[in-house]
Amino acid sequence: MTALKRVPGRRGQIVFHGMSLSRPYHRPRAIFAALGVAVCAVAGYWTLVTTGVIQSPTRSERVGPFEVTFQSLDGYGLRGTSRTLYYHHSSRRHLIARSVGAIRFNPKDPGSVVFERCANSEGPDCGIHYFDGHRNRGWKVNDEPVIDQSVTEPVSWSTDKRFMGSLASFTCSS
Amino acid sequence: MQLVNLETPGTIDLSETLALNEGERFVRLGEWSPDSRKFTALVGQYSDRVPPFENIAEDLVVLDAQDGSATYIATAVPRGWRAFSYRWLMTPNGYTVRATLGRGIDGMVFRKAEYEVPPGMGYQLP
Repeated sequence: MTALKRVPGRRGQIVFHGMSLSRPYHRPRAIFAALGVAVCAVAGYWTLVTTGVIQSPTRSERVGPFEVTFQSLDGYGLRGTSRTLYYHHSSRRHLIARSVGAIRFNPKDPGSVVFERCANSEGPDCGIHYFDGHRNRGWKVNDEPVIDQSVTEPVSWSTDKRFMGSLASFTCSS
Repeated sequence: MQLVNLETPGTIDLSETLALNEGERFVRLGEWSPDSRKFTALVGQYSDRVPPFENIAEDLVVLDAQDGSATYIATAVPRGWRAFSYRWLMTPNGYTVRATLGRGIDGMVFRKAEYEVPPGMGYQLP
C-alpha cells in the first residue's frame, strides 16, 4: 500500500514512500503519469460515446401534459436526434413511445397528440399513432406517414377530435 | 392532402379529389364545422407568375369527413380568401358555409359555372 502523508516540520511537501515529490528528479515522472491518465480518460470517453455505449445528455421540452426528450446520438461520424414521448398523469411520467418522428399536439385539447413512429421504416408499429390522454391509451391510425416532418406545417383538428386534416403528401407538378 | 380518421384506421387522400397534382396549385386548411362532419379547404392558384404573387384565385371547397367528397362553394379573386370571409351556418340539413365580402375589399367573389352548388350552399355576390 502506498500512503500520502504530511510530514511534520516539512510544510507544503507531500511524501510518497518516504521521498518528496518536490525533488526535481521525481516531478517529470508524476507529470507524465497524470497526463497519461488524462489522455486515456478522454480517449476512453470518446470511444464509448462514438460507439454508442454511453449517450450524451438529453434535453426535454414540456407541452401541456406531454414531455419530449431529445437524445443526441453521435456515432461513427453520424449524428442524429432521437425523440421520446412521455405523458404526465397523476404525478407520474408514462412512456408513450421511443424513436418518435413528427409530432403534432392538438392545440384545442392538450391531452391529444399524433406522432409518427420509426420513420422510413417498415414494421408492425411503424406509422402514425394517436394518443388520447383522457382515455390514457393510444393506437395506430395509419401505416403511411401522413404528417410532415416539418414543424411549421399545420394540421387541422376537428372539434370532436375524431379527424385530422393534414397537408402532407401534397405534391405540386407544374 | 390527407384526412386522417383518428378513431378507426382509415385515411382519405384528397389530393386527387381536389386535383392538387394538376398545375401550380396549393391548398390551405380551413375550418371544421361545429359538428365536425365537414371542413373547408382553400385550393388556390397564382394568377401571375411574378412575385409578390398578389393575384390569387382561390376556391372555397367543403369536404365531407365521412366519405371525402368535395363540394365547391365559390372562388375569391384577386387576393384569395384571406381578403374575404366565410362562416358556418346551421341549416335543417346540417351546417353549410356562407361566403361574404370582407370590409373594404373591392375584389370579387364568383362561382365557377362548371360546378354544381347544392341548395343551401349560400354565397353573396358583390
